[in-house]
Amino acid sequence: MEPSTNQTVQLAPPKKKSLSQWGIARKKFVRNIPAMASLIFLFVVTALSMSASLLSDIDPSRINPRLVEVPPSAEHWLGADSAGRDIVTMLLYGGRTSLLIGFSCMTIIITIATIIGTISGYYGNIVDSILMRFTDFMMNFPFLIFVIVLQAIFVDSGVLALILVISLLSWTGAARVIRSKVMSEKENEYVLSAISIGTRPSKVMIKHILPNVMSTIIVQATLLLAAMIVAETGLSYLGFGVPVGTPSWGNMLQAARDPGTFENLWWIWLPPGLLITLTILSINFIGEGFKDAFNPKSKK
Amino acid sequence: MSQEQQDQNVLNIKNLHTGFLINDELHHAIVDVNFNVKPKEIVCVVGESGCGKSVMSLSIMQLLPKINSKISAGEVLFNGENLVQKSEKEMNQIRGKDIAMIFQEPMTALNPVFSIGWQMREILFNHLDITKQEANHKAIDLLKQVGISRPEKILNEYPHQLSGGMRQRVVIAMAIALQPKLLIADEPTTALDVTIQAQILELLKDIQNKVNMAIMLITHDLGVVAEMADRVIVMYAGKIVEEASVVDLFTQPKHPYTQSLLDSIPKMDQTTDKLNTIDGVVPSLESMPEVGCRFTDRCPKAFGDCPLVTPQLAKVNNDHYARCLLYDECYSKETSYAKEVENV
Repeated sequence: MEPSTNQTVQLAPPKKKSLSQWGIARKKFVRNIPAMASLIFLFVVTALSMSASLLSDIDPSRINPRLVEVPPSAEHWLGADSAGRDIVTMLLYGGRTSLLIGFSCMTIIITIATIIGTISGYYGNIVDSILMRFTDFMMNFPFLIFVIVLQAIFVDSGVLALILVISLLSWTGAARVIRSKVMSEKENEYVLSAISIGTRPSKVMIKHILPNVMSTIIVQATLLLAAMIVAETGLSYLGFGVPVGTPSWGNMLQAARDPGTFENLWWIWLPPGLLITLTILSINFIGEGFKDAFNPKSKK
Repeated sequence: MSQEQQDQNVLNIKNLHTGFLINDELHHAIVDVNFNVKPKEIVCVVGESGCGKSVMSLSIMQLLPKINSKISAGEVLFNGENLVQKSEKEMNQIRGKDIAMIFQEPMTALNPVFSIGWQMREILFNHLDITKQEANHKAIDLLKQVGISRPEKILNEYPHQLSGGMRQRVVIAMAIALQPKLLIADEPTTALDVTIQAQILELLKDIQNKVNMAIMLITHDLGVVAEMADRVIVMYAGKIVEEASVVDLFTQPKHPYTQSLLDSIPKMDQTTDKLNTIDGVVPSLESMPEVGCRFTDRCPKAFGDCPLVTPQLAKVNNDHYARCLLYDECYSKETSYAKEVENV
């Protein structure tokens, strides 16, 4: 068919590249101001913690009797604690520990949860029953008591033991969420259609279903990151988390257990408390941002 | 039919029974289905919703969920090989390559997170040993074949950017990618509007002529049947009730169900207030009668024997089969004997 010249319609110039669902989500996320601000904040906090040893030449665990409980000054911006350790330096090194624990726990948990959730949801039936009963079993462990007991057993093994203990006890919720998402996703016709063109079941699971539940996984991961940082600070505050010598935000908060410190020496506990709150808040904003970005019904 | 003729058929279904487990009991959705598809033939399977049409197509592809369904008897012979006994691995070799399938809902048959190109390459990679470049060339070729203008552009687009008709074209392009011998189309036009429907059917017919494949078209639209079919199989409640060439079926339907279906088509030259319908619904799997004709309750011509004697599918005319007690041939030997005894 030859279109006559006077009938040709001027079309808008085609876009360079079509946006995938990922592309659309990214675009939506970038436009979400609180989420982007939070992302930048989290990035800055992480970067500062990572480069702690470059930014401060004070040893965070060195006890200095001359500096005990000095208030903020030009030399020590946020003063020092009751052992004479510089607060700013401890915040930097503490952030390193807290974020390391948060990120590692999140990675381990989301890996376990994705594997168990996906296999359980996709294969269903007996596999599902076994894995889900195991999940229930793990869920029924009283978290705090179990952590305390394990920490008592592995008393000197430090941060690594804590990461493993927290991770092993916390993957259940995410695994269930991912499983239910996979179950609903596998009912879609594209799964049947993929099998009908000769795709192996394992490949259908990994290549077709997993990318479709990735949004759920990412949102879960963000929420987990926040929860894990809270778990670390909580445990450390109680004295069952990171070993006392290692600085972490939770350990720093421990000082607030002393009423005298709590009333008079605000610079010892307020900065780590504030930093924890802001970090958790920003992670939650990022999580909300992801949720919005992946939700096709949100209009942002 | 001689053995030799049978061997030439693309598909031979013999005595197929497929059932679903409901409350630990096996209820058959398909009972004693026998038919065959010759090369290059278009066979339409017609029936109401719930008649077992889709279950049959899934049985052929071995795509039924293994947890709660089972092919309890019968054979599905594809080129002489029984698919029921094939392992999952062997079936994967056949699916997509020798038998392809088009699904009803083009909106969901494509994976939303991958580009059209990715999905078209997947079927090629599954069965051929080719590079990405070659696969892309082949995909563009295929998209041209199904009448998509600018295929290079479509390749980089995502399913949500295409209209329903376009998506169904893509699905068809994928289905014909490896020139299958049999294409099973499960209500391929039901989700599309009428003008697109006509285009898609035209396209299917066109392609069928070009690549010499047989099509098994499942539909409940008799208009589609008239347009497309060489031969028609009418199903009711899991059984074939009539099988005939398309001309015979429309000019002299034998089974009351077929007659009712044809009566239900609205006619332009008729002025009535009410459209003809068939009263009642297809019985559910659990409430399927054990003996007797399954259409009895809704049949305008039912008589005394209907709920008591199970009719057999029998030849009532040249190449015209029906399953109805109105025709003496359909009394099987045992049941006709029983009838005689009762009459005495």
